[in-house]
Amino acid sequence: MDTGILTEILAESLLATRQGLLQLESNPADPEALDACCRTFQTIIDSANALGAHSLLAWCRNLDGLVDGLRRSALPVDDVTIGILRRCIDFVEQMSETVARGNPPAPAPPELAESIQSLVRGLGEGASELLVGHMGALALDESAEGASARRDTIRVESSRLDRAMSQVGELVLLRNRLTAAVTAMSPGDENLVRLARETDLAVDDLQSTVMYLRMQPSRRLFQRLPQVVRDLSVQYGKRARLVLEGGDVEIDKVMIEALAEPLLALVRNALEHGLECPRERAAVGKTEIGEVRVTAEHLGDKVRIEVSDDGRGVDPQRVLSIVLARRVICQADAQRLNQEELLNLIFEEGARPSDEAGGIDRRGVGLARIRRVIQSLRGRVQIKSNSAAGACVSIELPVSLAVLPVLYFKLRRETYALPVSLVDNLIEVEPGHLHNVSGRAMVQIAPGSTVPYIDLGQRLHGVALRPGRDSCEGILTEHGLLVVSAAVGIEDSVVKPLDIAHRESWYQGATISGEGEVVLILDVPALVHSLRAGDAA
Amino acid sequence: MSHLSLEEMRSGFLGIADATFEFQRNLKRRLREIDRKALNAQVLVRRHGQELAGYGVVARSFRDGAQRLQQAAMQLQHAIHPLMLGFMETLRDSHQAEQLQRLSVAVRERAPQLNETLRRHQHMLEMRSDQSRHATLRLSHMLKRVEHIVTELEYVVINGRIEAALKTDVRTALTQVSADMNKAVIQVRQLLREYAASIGRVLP
Amino acid sequence: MKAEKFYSEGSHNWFIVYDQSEARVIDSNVYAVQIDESTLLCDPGGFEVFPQVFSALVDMVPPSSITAAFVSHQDPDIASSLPLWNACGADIVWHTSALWVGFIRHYGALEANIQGIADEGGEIVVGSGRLQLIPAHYLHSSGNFNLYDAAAKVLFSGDIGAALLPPGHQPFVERRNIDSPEAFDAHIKHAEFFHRRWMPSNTAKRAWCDRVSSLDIDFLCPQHGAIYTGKNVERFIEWFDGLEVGCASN
Repeated sequence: MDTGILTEILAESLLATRQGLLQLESNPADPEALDACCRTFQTIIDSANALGAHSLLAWCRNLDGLVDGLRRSALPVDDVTIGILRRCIDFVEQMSETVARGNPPAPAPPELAESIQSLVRGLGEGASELLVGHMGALALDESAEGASARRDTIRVESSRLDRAMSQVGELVLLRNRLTAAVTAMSPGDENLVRLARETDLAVDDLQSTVMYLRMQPSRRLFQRLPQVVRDLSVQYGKRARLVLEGGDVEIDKVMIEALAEPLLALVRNALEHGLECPRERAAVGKTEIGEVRVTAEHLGDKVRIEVSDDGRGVDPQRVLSIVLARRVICQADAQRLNQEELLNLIFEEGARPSDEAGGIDRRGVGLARIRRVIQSLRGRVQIKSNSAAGACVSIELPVSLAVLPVLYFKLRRETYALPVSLVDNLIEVEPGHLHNVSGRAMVQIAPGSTVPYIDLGQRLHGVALRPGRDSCEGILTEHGLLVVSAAVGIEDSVVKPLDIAHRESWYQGATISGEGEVVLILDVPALVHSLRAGDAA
Repeated sequence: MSHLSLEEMRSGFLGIADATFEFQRNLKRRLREIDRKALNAQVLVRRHGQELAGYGVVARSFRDGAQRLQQAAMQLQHAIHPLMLGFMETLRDSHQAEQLQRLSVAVRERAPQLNETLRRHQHMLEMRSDQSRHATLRLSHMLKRVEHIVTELEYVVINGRIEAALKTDVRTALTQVSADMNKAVIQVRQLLREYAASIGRVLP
Repeated sequence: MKAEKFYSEGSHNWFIVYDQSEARVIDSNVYAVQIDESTLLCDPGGFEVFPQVFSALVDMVPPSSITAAFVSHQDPDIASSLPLWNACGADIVWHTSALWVGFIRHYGALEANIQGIADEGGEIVVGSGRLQLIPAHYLHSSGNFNLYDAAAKVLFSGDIGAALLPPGHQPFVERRNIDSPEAFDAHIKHAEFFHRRWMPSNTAKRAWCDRVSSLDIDFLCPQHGAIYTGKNVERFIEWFDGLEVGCASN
């Protein structure tokens, strides 16, 4: 164990906690001071956890209940509590100094633990409930800790990680070119082919290692939520239980930062508009305490974050009447949508209902903006609702933004790319399956399944591709069937921003293909959105 | 080849040219399909991350196999070329010889150079027959190569189906992709069988 | 010989078979236009080079698709392969000037289905396409036609535009730097003697230039030499218009 680091981190946290306590003492009613104090305590607990200082961690977990009590205002912020907190900090300091000298820390004085526990015992049942998920995460971390025994850590400026990541990005591009060059040499030199394959794997490994350096547990994303739930419950006269799951699921730090606001807004929405007040809930046979659940889980190379509640849900018809009134969509188009698609119109720009309409989302970050943030992170967001049983907003994001797997496709002689994450299937375009439904091109992709037909030849080059005459291939996405000349292959690419791109661009950036060609990466949602806008006009 | 008349050979060789064309055209379509299925599999693998890495190898081998098949099929076309050339030269020379052979024996006896010319024609025909045999061998060698690659592809498909069966989470999607690949390979195998049969009818 | 597709739009394709490897007979190009499932040959070539032409062509089109042949005039480099083609496809319909029907039967295949074209021209239907027969009499033969495909903007010009190129030549007159006349000027040197010597009539030439200038042509395809594309088409017509023909003394 690197004791230097241990001392450094703990010393910082301890100092901050002491300052927080001072502030709290002079102003016990200040929620910010309390919040700051709770946070630094949390950092102490996290550092002990991260560094595998088991006895320190075990001791710190005594503090969990205490901190939580303070957060929920179940413990009075008085001299007694603050006194105990001070003694705790003193003891943590002692322990960390012992550890820093390379000795195992002594156990805590029994009477200190006893006085903490007596304080916590007075809090009643609810206390442990709040942090069920969270504790689960800690317990998991600890067992992982046991397996890997002692782990060295080092603190690194994040800009250095960013630099490493961007250099790996360049390496990935070079690797792609190497692979393409070796493939082009036919008949290839066996040794060279093997060497290229191995380089391929080594770069993959390096890339994922560097990628994981930038990962942080989603716990960081969750840390403000308990406070918000508590505050808002009081404000709206509701009773809520917050369940957090998957705090150990790791996400790129850029995403953690970008998601903080949207997540907060979604939780706020759930409390404000989703959950009913206790009386209303009782009337419909629900428990008086509503549940807001925030979960994170890994799905392959993606992370799914869900915010759900067991409140009154969202009515698709009401969403429809609002978007129709605001001309986000016309009646004819709306008729083609199923209930789930109607519901998801809630994310459209302008779909935000006004106050009089008994809003779905009246304040904070609008849903349209949330979707923009999610899309800028190459993710997608959708809502599901089973009216009366609640609503669930589900966000899917790539684990990392560093590398974007793309599908290259040809439009006549030009090559373009689109993110693999958008591709549901590649299919042959049957000329006989094209239809015109109320003036819009549609294509039947399977018996009973018809989707919009989006001719990229027409959209990007102004010259339509003619199935049956020109070479054509269909890329099925959730937005419809994108028709191209041919799908060529997939590759991990590194996205370079387009300087010239104006706001309305249909491209999210450019990359360099294995052949060394600069290839534009299509921004499919932006393209589809502009098509829809064009059709509406 | 001597057991067939020139007439039979002519229709046989034209049949080969047509069959090769048909084979190439259908094969191209099937290979495009195979490539699409393999690309689909690669997309699926990408979308599911590391857990499907094993299937990624399958998809890649499948694409590689499809590309090798494409190349082998092109070489097959190149192998057809000398065969066609050889036969059409035979046809041209026989045509000339025929004109001379139509002359009565009496006339031919009075023009001794004619018999010499006819003998030269006969000699040329024998040489061409040798060339044809050589070209036929080359063709059957190329056909075997194509067959070999199809067998490899079949093996890749079996591997893919095993991999698919092992991945419980995404089994349905993978099984579909594997079944599609399997179907595509079966179709190629069928094409190849029909093509080989049409060649076998003309060439020994 | 090599075969190359030079025009393709859906099921409408044009091919050239070029660069003959037999040097004892004049180097000739054979063209084929395939529309839907039918193929028409333009000047199918001489008896001696038939095997080369056939085997190169069936890399591109199936032999069973060949349903018609256009013969611009009666010369052996153009039509002496008739009996062999006929042996390979007795259903092929042959189109040539009515003047030459009885002559080209001399090449063999008395039973071949040969349709005579009237002096004023006409039309040939291939698949869903219609090709125009453009009179070009006395250029150089007294009964002589060009074939124009308006959809593909291809003019098959027979001996007009012919150039005597060395073996290994390209199918096109160099077109990489088409704005500059340099490549055309270099090419046309190989065409000059041929046109002066084989083309007998300045009047016929002037009439042809007038008629062809009004056609929209992307590819001007002669039976010897290389295809003129884009600006080289205009350059050729202008050059030919200005050339004194019918001279044996030079």
